[in-house]
Amino acid sequence: MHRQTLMQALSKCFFYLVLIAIAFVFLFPFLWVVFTALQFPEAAGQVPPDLFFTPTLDNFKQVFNEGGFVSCLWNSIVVVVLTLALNLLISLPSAYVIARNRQRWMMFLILFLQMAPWITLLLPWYVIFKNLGLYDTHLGLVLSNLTFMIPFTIWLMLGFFEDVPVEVEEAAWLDGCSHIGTFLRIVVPLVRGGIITVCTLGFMICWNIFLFPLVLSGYKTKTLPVFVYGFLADNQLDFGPLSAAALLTTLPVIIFVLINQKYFKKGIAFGGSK
Amino acid sequence: MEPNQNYKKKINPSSTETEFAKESRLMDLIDRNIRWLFSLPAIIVMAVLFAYPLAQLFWTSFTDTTLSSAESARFVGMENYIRAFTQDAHFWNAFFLTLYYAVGSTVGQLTLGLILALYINKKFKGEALFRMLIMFPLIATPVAMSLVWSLLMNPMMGHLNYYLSLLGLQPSLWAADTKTVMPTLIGLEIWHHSPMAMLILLAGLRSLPKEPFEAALVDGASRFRTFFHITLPLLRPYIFLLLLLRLIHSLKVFDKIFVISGGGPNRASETLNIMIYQQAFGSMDYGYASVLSVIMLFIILFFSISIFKFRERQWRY
Repeated sequence: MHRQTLMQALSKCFFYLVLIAIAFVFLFPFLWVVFTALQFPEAAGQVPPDLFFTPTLDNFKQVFNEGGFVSCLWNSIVVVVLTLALNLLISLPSAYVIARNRQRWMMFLILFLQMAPWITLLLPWYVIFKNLGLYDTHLGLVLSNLTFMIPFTIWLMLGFFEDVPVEVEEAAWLDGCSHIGTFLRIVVPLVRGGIITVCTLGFMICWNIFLFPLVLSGYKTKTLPVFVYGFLADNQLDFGPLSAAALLTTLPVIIFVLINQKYFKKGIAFGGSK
Repeated sequence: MEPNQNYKKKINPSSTETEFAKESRLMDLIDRNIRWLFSLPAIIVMAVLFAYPLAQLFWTSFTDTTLSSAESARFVGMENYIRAFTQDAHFWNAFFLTLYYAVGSTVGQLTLGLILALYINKKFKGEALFRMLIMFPLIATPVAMSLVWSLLMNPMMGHLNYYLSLLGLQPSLWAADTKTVMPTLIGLEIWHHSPMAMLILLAGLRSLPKEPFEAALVDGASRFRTFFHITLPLLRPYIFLLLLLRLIHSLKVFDKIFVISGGGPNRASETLNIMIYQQAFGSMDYGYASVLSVIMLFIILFFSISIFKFRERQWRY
């Protein structure tokens, strides 16, 4: 009897040890980047690493002083917020109608658009945007983001709208509510969870996107991922500032998603299972 | 429809209805055609941003458009296509590298994701914390993480080789060698996305019915047999969908490869995405890049149809 409890305790210990090892593998670059970014620029990245060091913010200062980090941060925020707002305005009604009428061809089109490789669209856009004067503008970047946000939102919201019972709407119609009224006052509040899910995942995708701004943004509207890439090209092997730049770029999105963790998990599970 | 109208007439006497109708004829018109009006903004945006550019892409694929010269493009027929399929060894190189990357990373993600999901498929303390921590690679900006990895994997000064030497292993050139660059990039993709596979498969595992497992237990089936004969077949829909989603995603990966290897060394990691980018914005050969894009589009279309067929079948039952 005694031996059995000991075995149990040991196997539990082993279970947690493996768990910690797994978490370490997935977190390692994050731990390393924090560790490196806090070191003095001269000591950052040296081999063997100095585990007991006095932290400093010198690297972060250098990122802020060099080449418009703040303006890139501003660009990222403007583009993401505008994209999310416009996206909801355009996609929600459309997803509702498609879900209610089960327009199958529309659904296939949307799935395909969601799958379409971004680089394919980029070639014609580059020419069109240059001709229309949309190159290097916030609007251009918002439009480019909308192309994947709209199909993605409609696809994700379909399931949420399908879950709203038709009886609720019929009750509203019988009481003399118009279709628009029913949609705004009854249906939208019922799919609030879906909307937050879309915004959480949308924030993440729009913040992280690299390919569109790499080609479509110039000096004025550079977003953070493009900034970080340029920073890498300019400061080869300058470990400290590079780590600080990487950390500053990815920190906002990590914080935002962790706040809305519940919805993020829901979105991931949903995108896979539906 | 008809019984419904009769019902309405009964509750709305016609005299009041006519007055009401005059005032709100426009509203009524909007309301009746709501199914088209609601879709309209989305359709317009999609047409402008998808249909027109794609049409233009097809057109450019038959011309010799370049970005560098101001000369107007000539129609060259199938020339670009012939060049891709028969004359350009780089195209086939990129084509097979793309498939290699997509299949390798998808299989890796699913295997690792399944192992992780099975491992934590029980109640334990700190589960929420673990799931939160393991999501970090999914959330972080890929370009920033690629930068961090490229620092770590630097053959001369990177820390990974230092850790290898601590373990008594030979240093690796990682992304700087033609032999190791693809396994390195595939490994990174697996690191990046297997948490997603884990989350989805875990949700699948938790939604399975309990009865078959109880029956297996009663019959005295081994854990091994239970897994292969009950768990895996029941999980099949999740695995299949995940497979297609991850495959399509992996075909499109650009950021990581672009930042870490840029397609090099010596084109050893030049997937179709990278090749298209280089052709269009490096060599300025727009017509040829368009052909490659069209081919890419058809590969993706093939997989999209498969997913849609699958979702439709689920709907029917």
